[in-house]
Amino acid sequence: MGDMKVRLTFSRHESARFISHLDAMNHLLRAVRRSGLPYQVTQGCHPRPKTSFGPPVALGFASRCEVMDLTLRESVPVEEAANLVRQQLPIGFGLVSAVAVEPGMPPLTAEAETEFRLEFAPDAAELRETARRFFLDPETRIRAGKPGQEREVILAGAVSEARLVDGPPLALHLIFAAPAKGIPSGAKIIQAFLAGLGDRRPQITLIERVRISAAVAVRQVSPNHSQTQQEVTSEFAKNSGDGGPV
Amino acid sequence: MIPGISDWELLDIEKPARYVGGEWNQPQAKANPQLTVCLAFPDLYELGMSNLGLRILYDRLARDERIQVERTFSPWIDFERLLRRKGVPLFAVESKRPVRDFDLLGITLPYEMTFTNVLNLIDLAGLPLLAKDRCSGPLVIGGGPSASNPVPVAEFFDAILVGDGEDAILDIADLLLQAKTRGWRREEVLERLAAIEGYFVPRFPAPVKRRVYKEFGQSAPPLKPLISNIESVHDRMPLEIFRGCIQGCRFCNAGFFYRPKRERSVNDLCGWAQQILQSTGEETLGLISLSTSDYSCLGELVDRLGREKRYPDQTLAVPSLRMNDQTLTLLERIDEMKKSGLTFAPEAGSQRLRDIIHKKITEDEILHVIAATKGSNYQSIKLYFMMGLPFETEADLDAIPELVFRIEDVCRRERLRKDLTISLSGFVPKPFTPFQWCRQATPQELFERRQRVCQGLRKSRARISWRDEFLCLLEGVLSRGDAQVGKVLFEAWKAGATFDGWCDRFREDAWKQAFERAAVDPTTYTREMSVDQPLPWEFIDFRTPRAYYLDEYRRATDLARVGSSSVPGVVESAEPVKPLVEA
Repeated sequence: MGDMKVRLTFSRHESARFISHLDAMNHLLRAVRRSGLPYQVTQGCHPRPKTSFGPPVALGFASRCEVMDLTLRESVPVEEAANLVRQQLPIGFGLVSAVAVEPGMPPLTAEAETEFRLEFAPDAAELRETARRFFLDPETRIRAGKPGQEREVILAGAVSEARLVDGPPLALHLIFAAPAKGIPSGAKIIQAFLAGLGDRRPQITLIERVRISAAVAVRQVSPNHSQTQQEVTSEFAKNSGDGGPV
Repeated sequence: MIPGISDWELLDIEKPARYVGGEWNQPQAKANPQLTVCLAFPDLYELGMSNLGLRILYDRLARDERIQVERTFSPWIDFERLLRRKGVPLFAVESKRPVRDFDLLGITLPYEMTFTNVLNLIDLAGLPLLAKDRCSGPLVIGGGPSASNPVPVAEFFDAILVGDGEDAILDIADLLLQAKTRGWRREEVLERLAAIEGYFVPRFPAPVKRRVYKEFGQSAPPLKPLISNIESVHDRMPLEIFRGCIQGCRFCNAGFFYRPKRERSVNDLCGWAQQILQSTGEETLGLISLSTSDYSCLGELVDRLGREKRYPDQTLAVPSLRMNDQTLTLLERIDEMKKSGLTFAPEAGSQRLRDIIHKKITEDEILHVIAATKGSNYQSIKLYFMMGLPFETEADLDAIPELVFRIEDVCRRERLRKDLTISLSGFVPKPFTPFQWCRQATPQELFERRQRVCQGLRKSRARISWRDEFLCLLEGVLSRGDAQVGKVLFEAWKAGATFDGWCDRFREDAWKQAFERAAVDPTTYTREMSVDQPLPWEFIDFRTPRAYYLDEYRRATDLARVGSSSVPGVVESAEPVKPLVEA
């Protein structure tokens, strides 16, 4: 039995949204250790489970697509691996899917199209429309870059789709094209929008990254053992219905 | 997430994960608890989550089905501002219930520089600061290493525990459970508490005997410790291998506070290590004690932990090593060791002064250990030195750079590429130590000594760090203070002092103003204290007789007078040595 690589897609909701990407990675590495899976370790001074992670999501955003590629020393049925890891996930984390990484699948570092879902309070239809126009307007400009080195960026073409979904809850789905040079990530663009909202921010009740195209799960694990994408969605809808998360 | 605070507001503050709870291994809320206890740590979440005492007490209480135990920490400035602006009282991170609604609030006293944070915690909880003004709400108790002398903080607490907390916390929980059934009033509870060993109840003064947890050796540590939401200060799972210390360093309070030495067996430790690693998924196990080299079977323990690895990336961290043969043996087992830094505390540069303070290591041992790090994974070495020690002379100070140069020579000879850091701090006389009567050097004297040492080290490549001299003074005042110091503390807090241990937050002006307002001269507490007068903390039976401290102090004085060394091979000085500070 040789090495195998498994691609695990996690969700992050509730209190787990407030954990930084780096800390979340460490929590997932601990979950991998606890799971008892025969993971491969990295070489060098600080060995750790051999993994690679997908792009970070902004602090406070929920996510259904936190992706981790995990290298195992020996072959393990994907569903078994999924089960073992799922039992070890901290509060707020869930396992969305697990697939064996096969040749030809895009690496997690691949430039990816990303979809976000913004949910609004029932009386915030106007703000939702403002948001839609902001993201679609080719003339929208935002400040981006490291502190002290900020520059103005025109968003033209960064958002390929802004779709209204009349729930409840009211929602806006945004699809960001794979980031081009000089264009900030989808999360950064959303944050720039939020920064301009001031006191109206609470009208947005949830921001969730729902999909990264390059990392999208190819094959879902069995519904007997895990939540399917659809189940996650419906559960999430239930969670967000009571106005809990952001 | 937090009642009264929107998620958006939470996102505007630094590291919101400090306040949301939900950590891995957090126990389920009990359905119908009969008693609620909130354990508070008066510093940031990431420090509190590494604190061994808090872990132990939390675990002890969580195992009792009748008790709901939760945690709270000092909110950082930004979150405190938000709490106060929104009128939200301090809450426990598990249930987000206000701290003031609990039956018992237990505040750890880990180091003196958290005392203003203690006051701030009580205030943020919406409770009156002074115990005499609290007629309802939780009993507020304190405990921890800096409770050796509880007098300066006495008026803020209903009770302070001196000594080990394992059994004592269950005793007070039992007492409160009984009080609920029998309808005892607060006063009645406190009066009964004063009769329990270890508890100092300011309202009912009585002799206090330091509490010792005798079953430590056989008792399991927390086997399902919580995992911090954010990276904690010590990124490792602590495994306390023994408690207490046999070294008897004359300046060290911990050496007396944690007496006697109680070891856990290799067998037990290896079994517990497996369970802790399995329940946490942490890869680094830290072997914790005051002086890990003194564990009688250290080699065997390290070997076994190395053989019985639960994870392929498992490593060991072994802090608090002495520079002796045991450490040399340990360094040979480098494969299992965490590849980080080694920290040693020679404390003094000269053999003479090391003898006086009873730090039993020789220069040969120091140099041997440094040489033995060759080929080890340790990248950096940090050495701690104290300045202003009793009987210190200029020659003793100059011996610090001289020792550092000899260490650098060894590194050159052995081709060791290690980062060397020298950490300098001022000596603070502590209660219940042989040096408890000693004068503390003034900030100006300490500054001059630091200048001298740094000047001596100017050709060294070592990085130098030091502790602020005024902080040392303050630590001295808070350590050896009486009730008057409590007034200063109150004034300092009123003037805005919090997080005094954080350089960027320390407000020297607030403290200077506090001394003025309370009309207290800090030098009252830093000067030499008479051996003929009782000290403010001597109403506590620390289980080491006063005569012992006095005898040890006199031995040190004798050593200083003759200027000799107990260590063979070290040349005795011909002239009596004149100390910089008369001890």
